[in-house]
Formats: sequence, structure tokens, C-alpha cells
Amino acid sequence: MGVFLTAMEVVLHRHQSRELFLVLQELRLQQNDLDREWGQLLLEQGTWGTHGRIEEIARNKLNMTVPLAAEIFRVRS
Amino acid sequence: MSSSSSYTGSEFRIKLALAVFVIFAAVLIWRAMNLQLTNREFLQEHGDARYLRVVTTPAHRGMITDRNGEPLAISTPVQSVWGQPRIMAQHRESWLRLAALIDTTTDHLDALILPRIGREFVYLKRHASRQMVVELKQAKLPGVGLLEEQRRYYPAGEVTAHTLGFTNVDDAGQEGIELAFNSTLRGKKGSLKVIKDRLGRTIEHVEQIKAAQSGQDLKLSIDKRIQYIAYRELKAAVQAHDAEAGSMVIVNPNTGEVLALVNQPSFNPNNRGDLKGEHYRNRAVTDIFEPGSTVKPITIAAALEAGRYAHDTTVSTGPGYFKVGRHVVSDLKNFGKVDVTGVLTKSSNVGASKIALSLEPDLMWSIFNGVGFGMSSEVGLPGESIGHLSDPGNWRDIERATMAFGYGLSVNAMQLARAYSVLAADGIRRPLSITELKTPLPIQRVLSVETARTVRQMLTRVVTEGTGRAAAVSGYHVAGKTGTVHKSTTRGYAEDRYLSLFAGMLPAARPELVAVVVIDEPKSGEHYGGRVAAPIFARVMHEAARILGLTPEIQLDVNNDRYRLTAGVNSDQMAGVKP
Repeated sequence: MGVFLTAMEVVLHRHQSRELFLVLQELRLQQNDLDREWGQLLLEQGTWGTHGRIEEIARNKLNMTVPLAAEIFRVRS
Repeated sequence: MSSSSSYTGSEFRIKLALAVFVIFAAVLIWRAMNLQLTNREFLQEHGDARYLRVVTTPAHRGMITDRNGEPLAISTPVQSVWGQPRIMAQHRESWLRLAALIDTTTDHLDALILPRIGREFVYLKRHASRQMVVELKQAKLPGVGLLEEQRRYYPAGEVTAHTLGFTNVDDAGQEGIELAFNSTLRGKKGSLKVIKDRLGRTIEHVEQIKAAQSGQDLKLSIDKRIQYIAYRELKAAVQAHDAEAGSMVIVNPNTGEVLALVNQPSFNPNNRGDLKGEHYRNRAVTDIFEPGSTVKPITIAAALEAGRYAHDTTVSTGPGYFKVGRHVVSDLKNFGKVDVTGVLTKSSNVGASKIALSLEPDLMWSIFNGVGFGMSSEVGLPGESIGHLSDPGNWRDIERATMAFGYGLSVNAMQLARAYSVLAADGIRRPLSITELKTPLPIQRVLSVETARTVRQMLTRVVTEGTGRAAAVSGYHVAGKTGTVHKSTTRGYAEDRYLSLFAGMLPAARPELVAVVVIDEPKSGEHYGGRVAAPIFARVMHEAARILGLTPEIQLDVNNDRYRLTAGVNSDQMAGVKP
């Protein structure tokens, strides 16, 4: 009787572990997808944030200029 | 009797039946034992092969960032398309569809698959686009699968191309940092033993054979902002002067960290279709040149170390030339009697030669060698040419004389930057580093503090009243030296081909930045280092000082707009810099 019960337990837990493993697998895939997305967003950020692009917009669209050395004041704290 | 005989007959039949059963049982037991004991391994293996699989787990290549953590090289997963030639050959009708999906021709597929018919794996398309992957998944072509791989992207594009180098399609470093630090960056692929079901889903993770190890991230000493400014200005200048090539190196002399390293011509590391060697050569370390007048400060440093000269010792340079054996050393014009500072500000070859000839060759060699000529800059980038500094035992007078003004020895831009860093760091030589330093590297004193400071003081005069006036940066005292070198060819020195150089530092009293600019063969009519290279130094340093927030040394008049006139950068030049 005891042998039968433990045998059933083993079967049950084995099944559960397989199910949990499938969930883990799913989550790994999800992690991978998120990783990929993060990489792509970093790249996108890198591309939009290229110094060349920012500089062009700052100068041409927003009419910004680099301050002259004489126009920079250092605030002493 | 008959009954007894019939009884014996039935008994015999029972025995026969029993015997047959026993024989059957024996055969079965023997077979079971045979399978279980003798053929066990073979059978187990085949059984496992039906559902046990070893899968590799991909490892990420580490990210490369600049000193502020800005990403410079990122790996992202991409899918590659692969096929099983054996299965594909049975479905030739689907090839046309496949060819259209992966953007190739059926002829190409024929050439790819037919010779490999017996194999289980062939790459059909490395690094497919996302669109392709989506369409392929929908098409479900027989014998065609997807495999995850890594692809490297460089957000800063050509700006950091030479410094970083690149990886090949198999994610191995080929050039630059990617090659030099390949073992740190590269991850180690792991492998897993798993049980898969009929549909290929992994059901159970049996054992981990090897854990996947992601590569380590690498933080460079490069400051992306300064790198960009240097690249922009160098590119604009190389174009404006119609030059062959150019390099610029910026170093923090107090740590030995390289803040910027740029070259022209460059390339886009994200799309290396037609790459030629001349584009991806990291000229600042691979190309050597004769440094010309830019070594005069080192000659003067040697003279000061010898104790025979001070900044105001007079040297006669009249009549503008002098004979050393059969050779003649000459100046642009007769500068007459000048002091040691004047030798630098006027860049007198005669003066520098006369000083060098009065020094012990061994002392001069030990200073030249001490500042790092003829030895590696230790920056650790692949392909460094360490140039040439000959042994003083073999020096003839003419060699001592020409070496004083930078001919007869060769250096790369990195080494020249290091030599000036010695002057900047009060006489201390440090190994250069392209990675962020957490602990300082071993240092060596090669000049006295006094000598280094005096030379710097003299070099500020080069910028205020000498050949390097275009290198002035408002708000700071700049110390630096120009150089204009005749390029040496197989038939001696070319009359009309030059290298324009400028090496300098700021703020002169306590330098935080050292920079070297090399422009190779400017063809715009201007070729003097003071006219071609010095303005680049000024523009880049003005911005670098602002970015780093260096305290200005000089109180400025708000109405002084000299800088506005010299640093007009137009937007065309900037539009040229795109990833």
C-alpha cells in the first residue's frame, strides 16, 4: 500500500515538474524577446540621439549656438 | 492395458506441451537477457535519440560603452535561416517561394543545396531581417528552420569605427577593441540536455552540460562627446584641405586614458559592403611618420636636463644654415641670434641641431626613449607600429643633427601624444589606456618637474607669438608645437608632399588634455602645420574644455569674438556624420 502511494506521488510530481518546466521555458522565451526589444530600443535611442543629428537640429531648427568662452560664467559654490 | 497405454499417451502429450512452453520461456528469457545485457548500450542510445536532444544556449557578447556608459557596441539577437538539404530536396516546388522570401534566386539555392544533399544543416541566410522572419514563420516551408544568433550594432557608426573595430558574422572580433578584447567580450555558449515531445517543445531539462556565460561589458576611456567633436572637425578639415588622410588623438595626461581616437578616411561598421584596407586602418596606431618639428620640445627638454641650457640661453642660428659633414641643415630664413625659447617659437632647425650636437648622444637617446619613442604606447590596440629610434652607438653627427628636428626617427600619433603627455604630466610617463582605468598603471619619471614646466612655458610662446597662433583657445593658455614634414618616399624626401602636424596641451599650467593632429598630404595649397593642423586643435579643444568643464585660466572680455571668426562650423560638415 505504502509503495503504491509513493509511486503515485512520484508520478504526480514528475508531471508537475514537467508542467512547471514548460512555464519556465515560456518565461525564458519571453525574457529573450524582452532582451531583444531592449537592444533594439537602445539602438533606436542611439540612432535618434546621434550627435550629428542633435547638432543639426539644435543649430538649424532651434537656432542654438555654442556659447563663446567669454559667455560662460563659472558659479563658485 | 489399453487404458494404461492411453494414460501414458496423455501423460506424454502433457509433458510435450510443458516442454514446448519451457522452451518458449527459455527463448524469451534468453532474448530478454540478450537485449538487456549485451545490446543494452546500443538500444538505450537509440531510444534516447528519439526524444533526448542536446541544445546549445546562445551567449551574449558584452556591450562596449564609453566612459560615461553610453553604448558604443550592442549585440542584439537576430534570426538566421537554415535548411535540411535532404528534406528540402524532396520539396523542390517550394524553392521558388523560399528564394523570394530570403531575397535570392533559385539558381543560388541550387548551388547552395544540391552539393550538400547528404548533410543535415546548411545556412540559407545569415542575419535575416525581421520582416523575413515573420513571413518565413507563416510560410512553414519543409526543411527550413530559424536559428537565433547575435548581430553587432554600432550606434555611433563611423565616428568610433576604427577604435572599436568590428566582428565577423560569427561574432568574433576582427579589428580594434573587438579584436583586442575578444576574450573578455565573447560569451561562452552553453549546452543543455533536454527531452522534447513530438512537436519539438522542450518538456524536461535533463541536465546542464555547460552553462552559457555572457561576455563581460567593457567600459572604454573614450568620451563619446569629445570623440564626436574630434571626428567632425577632422573630417571637415581633411575635406577642406583635400588631404589623403588624417588622425587625431586626445589623451588625459594625468591618467594616460585616451579620450578620443579618430581617423580619416573612415567607414560605417554597420554596413561594411565594400570595405578596403585603407578605410579600416586605425592610422593613429598603425601608421608611422617622421615627427619633424614636433620633437623639438623633446630635444630642448634633453638640453635642459643636461644642465647646459636655460630658457634664455642664446643660440646663434645665423646665417640660416650650417654644414654637418657633407649635409646642410637649413631654416626657412636667417633668424640670427635667438634664445632657446626662440628656437621653438620660430621652429629653427639650425638652432635645434646645434643644441643636439652639443649634447651627449646617450643622454639625448635616453630622453627620446624615455618619452616613449621606439617603444609601444601600450594602448593595446591591434596592429600598432612602434616606429624607429636607432641606437645611439651608431649615430653619426648628421643623424644627431636631423634627429633634433624630427627626421631619422619615426613614431605613430599615439606615441607622439604620449611624449607630449610626459611634458604635460610634469615629466612622468604613463602607459596609455583605451579602457577606463580603475587603478592607476605603473608610472616612470623621465624628466624633472622643472624641465617639464619650463618646456611647457616655452611652448605657450609658440602659440602666443610663434608658428602655432592658430591653435589658441580662448580662456586657456595653450602649449604646443607645429610640425610640417616632407614625406619620405622611396626616392628620398618628396618636395611637394607634406604631413601637417600639431601637438599640444591645455591648460598649460596644469594640463588636462593633450592632443595630436596629423593631416596627411593636404593639397589645398596650405601645408604648414600651423595653418592646417593647429586650427583643428583649437576647435576641438575649445569644445572639449567646455564639455569637461575645465576652469578657464584667463578672464575673458565678453566682447572678444575672435573665436567666433575662427570656429565657424557649417552644417554641411555635420550632416556628413551619420551612423
